[in-house]
Order: sequence, then structure tokens, then C-alpha cells
Amino acid sequence: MDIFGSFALLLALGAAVYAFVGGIAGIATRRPLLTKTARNSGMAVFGLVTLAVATIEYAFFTDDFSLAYVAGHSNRALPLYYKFSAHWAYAVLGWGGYWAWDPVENAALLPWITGTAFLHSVMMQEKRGMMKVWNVWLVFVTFMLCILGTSLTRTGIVSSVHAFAESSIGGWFFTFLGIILLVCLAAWFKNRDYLRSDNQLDSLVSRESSFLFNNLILLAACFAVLWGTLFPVISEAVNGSKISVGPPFFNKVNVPIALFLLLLTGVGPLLAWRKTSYDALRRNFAWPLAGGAVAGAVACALGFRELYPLICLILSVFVTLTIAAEFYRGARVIASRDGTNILTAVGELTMRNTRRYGGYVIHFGMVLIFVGISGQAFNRDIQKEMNIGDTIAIGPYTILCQNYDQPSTAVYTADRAALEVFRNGKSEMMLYPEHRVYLASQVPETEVAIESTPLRDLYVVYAGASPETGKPVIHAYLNPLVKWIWFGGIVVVLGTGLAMFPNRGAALVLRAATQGAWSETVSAQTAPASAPIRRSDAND
Amino acid sequence: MKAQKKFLVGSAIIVATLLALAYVGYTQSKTYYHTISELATLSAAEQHQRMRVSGNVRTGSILHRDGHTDFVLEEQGKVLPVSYVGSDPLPDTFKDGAQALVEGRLQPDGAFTAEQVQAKCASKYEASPTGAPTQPVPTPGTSMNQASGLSAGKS
Repeated sequence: MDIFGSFALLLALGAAVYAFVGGIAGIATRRPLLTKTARNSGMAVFGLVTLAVATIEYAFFTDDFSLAYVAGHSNRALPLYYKFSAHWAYAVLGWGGYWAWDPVENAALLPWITGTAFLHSVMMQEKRGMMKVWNVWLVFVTFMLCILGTSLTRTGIVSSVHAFAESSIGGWFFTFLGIILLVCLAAWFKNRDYLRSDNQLDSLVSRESSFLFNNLILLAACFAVLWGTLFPVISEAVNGSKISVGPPFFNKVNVPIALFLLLLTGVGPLLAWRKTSYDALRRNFAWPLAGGAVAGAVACALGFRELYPLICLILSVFVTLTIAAEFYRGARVIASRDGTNILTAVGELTMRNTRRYGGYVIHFGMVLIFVGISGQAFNRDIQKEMNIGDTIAIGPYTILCQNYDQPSTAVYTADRAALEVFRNGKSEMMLYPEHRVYLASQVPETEVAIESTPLRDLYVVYAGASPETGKPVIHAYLNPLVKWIWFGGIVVVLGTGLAMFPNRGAALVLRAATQGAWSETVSAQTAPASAPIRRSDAND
Repeated sequence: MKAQKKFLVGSAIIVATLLALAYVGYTQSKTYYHTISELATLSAAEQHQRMRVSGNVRTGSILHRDGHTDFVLEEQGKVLPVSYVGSDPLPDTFKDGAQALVEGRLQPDGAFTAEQVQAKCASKYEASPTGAPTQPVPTPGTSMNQASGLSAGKS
């Protein structure tokens, strides 16, 4: 099986080389065959690497220890259902969080930010011929950030739990980055005449404007995270001392950015291209704004007065209502015209324009993620040494230590606590947080006990044994709304799949030509013999 | 032209706000990096800084208590007693002899109060001291040996 994976990687390397060489050759010699096959080759790289990953996942699944990589990493219980590493960090590492603004985490985030910015600003280019130079450079920067991110992890220029020190590979990486930059500059310079804008910004109350603000703050976030991550390198170069910045810096800048982004998510799709009329504004925003305001008022009345979570809640309700309104408006037209019920109409509507409505599903997934993250403001935790019969109270739960034992096996030694969890006086479940040490490698591992509900996670860790008494020290966390993050992530992935699906129901209308197609008297206003297939309508 | 000007004004306001927030965030979280040996040479003002110190965990020094964990870091012959008071659980890689990075403040009595502790992931990628291509250090019972032992029996 592993031979299959290695072969797939070898093929992927060949395909990647061809994609690069063939693509450039195709552009230089103006041979479409070369550029087309080069592009397909690029996609083949993706498919082949996925195959290679699948074979190693298979090896993990079947515990194929003949692969050294599997043997070395099987100590960690890789969750087979969720592949998101944040969830892995949360559920497996027992560290209690899912994001720490570690340099390696930031390195992965940066290209995602610029890629998202590109995804939105390219629509401006598609519809209005604007932002061409900007988009070209945004894509170049996204790629360069990917390489920079890899170099941050491997060269150790920034200290991190994952950045391993002292490697000579830094020189190679930065030379590579330099070459990429030169190629990008050359490509842009050679094609700059084709990149002139066709149009300008007409009004601030337009979809173009919302995309511009979207790009502005996404890039501000990218810049802030990049600056914060590289700060130790910069400060050392400037005045010799290694100064690093931590989560307070990143959160202070990125939380307001994220909230503004959330606002744009609701506002943008409801604005028209070029300029939105006042009537349209009033019609589209009245109910969602009202809904958001009501949600905010209710939350305030119930005592949730933390500023940022409150704003997040208001905006989340606002955005959800705008998305629902979009689906409803379109579906209602189809339902009344075709005589179907509204649910079928929603399906038909979505499949006619998968990119737009898949995009709305993605936005909704992001709303869920933001709500899940805002729960962090209400996190609680408590650490206590527990004898048999001791209790910890946290939130609505009371945790009672029933027993502790050492369920060691041939592969590891373990300490485990058997905890009974009560809620409002009723016994709900047993939790078994464990701490293991794998004998062969002497690697310790925490088995976190998580009880996850839509409202909150109860997250219990066996922190260690008290040195004097040998009794277990239990650390219990109450993390509200965490499940929304994982669920929101799945919704985003599903929405992406939907958006990539080809549209259904494109109409090809054939009409007999009234004049010869190539006649000199054909005027510019003559309709073509067949109507073009419309991939999206003017209201996108 | 008017719309573009309005956009630029809006952008300037947003950027200025973000810069202000960034500055506040920076002052609240800026952390200086010092080695244990440097700690003795710090000026009075520098001693109050929020700082990060790295060292190796002295074998047998880890003591888990109610609400905090105490241990001792050592590097180049110097030692630093540390008390970790943060709410996150200690990382799995934190154990005797591990290379750890603590973040927090120095106390007047010379002990260190840590709000964050990072311990290095077991690194298989460290450069060999001679600069030769990296090989994982072969010790009995490591995963590499296990793998080769098992593959000898497999077809």
C-alpha cells in the first residue's frame, strides 16, 4: 500500500514540474494545448497528493507499523472523524484551547486570509473589470505566504512549540522566495497593459464598496498577524532584544476586524452593483436589523453584557436573517412561477446558481464559527486535588470523584480518575480522564474526557498526582458553545462543495437566424443566433 | 471621484483605529526574551518586564499542587525556580529534562511566576552538530527501532 503512495508522490512531482514548465512554455509560445494540459497537470498534482495522503491514512487506520511514520505517530490517538487540527489540538492534546496565535498557526492562517480576500475581489473583476492588478498581486502574495509559512515552521527563525531550532534550510527558502518574487514581478510587468481597470467605484453604497472594505480589513488582519509573528525577528534586528507579542495583541486587533467582517457579510450581498437605491436599502435591511436589535436587547436583559460577544450576537442574527431572506426571496419567485412548494424551490434556486447560494451557506457556517468562538468570553475553569468522595462544582455541574486506578497495559502506564457528573442534582454520566506514559518512547499523553453538548463543553483533564498525597489533581473546564465551531466548520466545507458544483438548469435557446451570420450588414445590436448560456445573472 | 474619496477617508479611519488597537495590544503583551544567566544582570526596570525564559526542567523538580505547579529550570549551570499559575493544563511534552519556555514575571525574591509554559515537541528534525544530514538519535526502544524490528517480520 505504501508503495502506491510513494509512486503517487513521484507522479505528483513529475506533474508539478510539467505544470510549471508547460505553463510557462504555453504562454511564451501561445500554444493553448500547452497551457491547458499544464493546468490539468496542476489539478493532477492535487489529486495525486490526496491519493498519497489517503494511503498513509489507510496505514494509520490499519495500524501498519511497518511504516516508520505510523509507528512513530501512533501514540497520538488521531481522531478519525474530524481532520481539523484545531479540533485535534482541543480534543487530543488536552491543552484546553484550539488556537493560541502560535507562529506556526499564524503561518497557516495568513494565506487563507489573502486567499479569502481574493475570492471576493475577483468577483469585482468578473462583473465590473475592476481590481485587475490588485487581484494578480493578491494571488502572488497568497502563494508567497504559503512558502513563507513553511519556512517559518522549518527554519526556526521564530521560536514556537513547533518551530525546531537551527537548520540551514533557511537560506534555500529565502532564495526560493526571492526567485518567486522576481517571477511575479516579471509576469506582472509583461502583462500590465492587459490589467487596466474598465470601471471605477461609483458609490459607497454598492457591492463594489463592500468588497473593497472586505479586502481592506482582511489585509489589515493579514498584516497585523504577519507583523506580530515576525516581531521578534524585527525587534532583534532593530535594537538587539527579542520582543514577542502574544494573544492580547492578536486578539485586540483581530476581534474588531472579525466583527466588521461579519457586518460586511450581511451587508454586502444585499447591496447592488454600482449603487443601491434608498428604497432597496430600506426593503432589504429593515427586518434583519430589527431581528439583530431584538436579539441584542434580549441578551442584555438576560444579563449577557460583555461587549464583543453582544455585538457578535447582534451581527450573527442580522447576517442569518439576511441569508434567510435571500433564499426566501428567490425561492418565492420560483415557487409561484413553477407551482412548487417553497422547499423544492429553495433546492431549485440553489442548483441554478450554486456559487452564489453555496457562498451563502459558507457565510452561514462562518456565522456559526464566530458564535462558537464568542463563547470563549464565558469560559471557566477550576483545578483541585480530589480524594475519593470529593466534589468540584463548575457551572451547573457537580463532579464527584468515585475512584482512581491505574489501567496500565503492555504499551503504556496510566493513571485514571473515575468521575461522576451531576447536573441539577441528577447523575448524568461518568467521565474517565486519563494520563498515560507510553513505555517505548517515554512520551506522556493526556486523554481528555469531554462531554460536549450544543450549549457547552465540560472538559476534564487529569493534571497529575499531588506530590505529597499522591491523589489526582483534576482540572475541569466549562467551555460554552465550542461545538458550534466544529459544526460551523462542517457547514463551511459543505457550502464549498455546493459552490463548486456546476449549475443546473442553464437554458440554451436556439432561434433561427434572420440574417446571415457573417454578413456585412450585421449590426452590433443584432441578437446572436443562440442565446449564450448564462452562468449567473446580473443580480449576482 | 467622490465615491473614491469617501472610500479613502473610510479606510483611513479604519486603519487608524486598528493601529491604535495594535499599539495598545502591543504594550499589554510585549514580552522580552532572556536567558537564565541574563536574569542576574538585568537592571531594576528590566526586572519588572514581562519576559520569557527558556531552560531544561530539572529531573524530579516537578511538583503539582492545588492551583499551581512548581518546578526548577536550569541552563548553563544557572537555576531558576518557577511557579506556574496559569489555567491551561501543562503540555504533554512537559516532563523531567524537557526543554521548556516559561512566560511571566520575575518576583523580587528571584523566583519566576509563569502564566504560560511551553515545552518543546519531541524534535526529530534538529540539525546534527556536525552539519551532516539529520538522523534520528538511535536509542534502544525508540519507535524507529520498533519499526525496523517489525518490518523484518513482514513481507
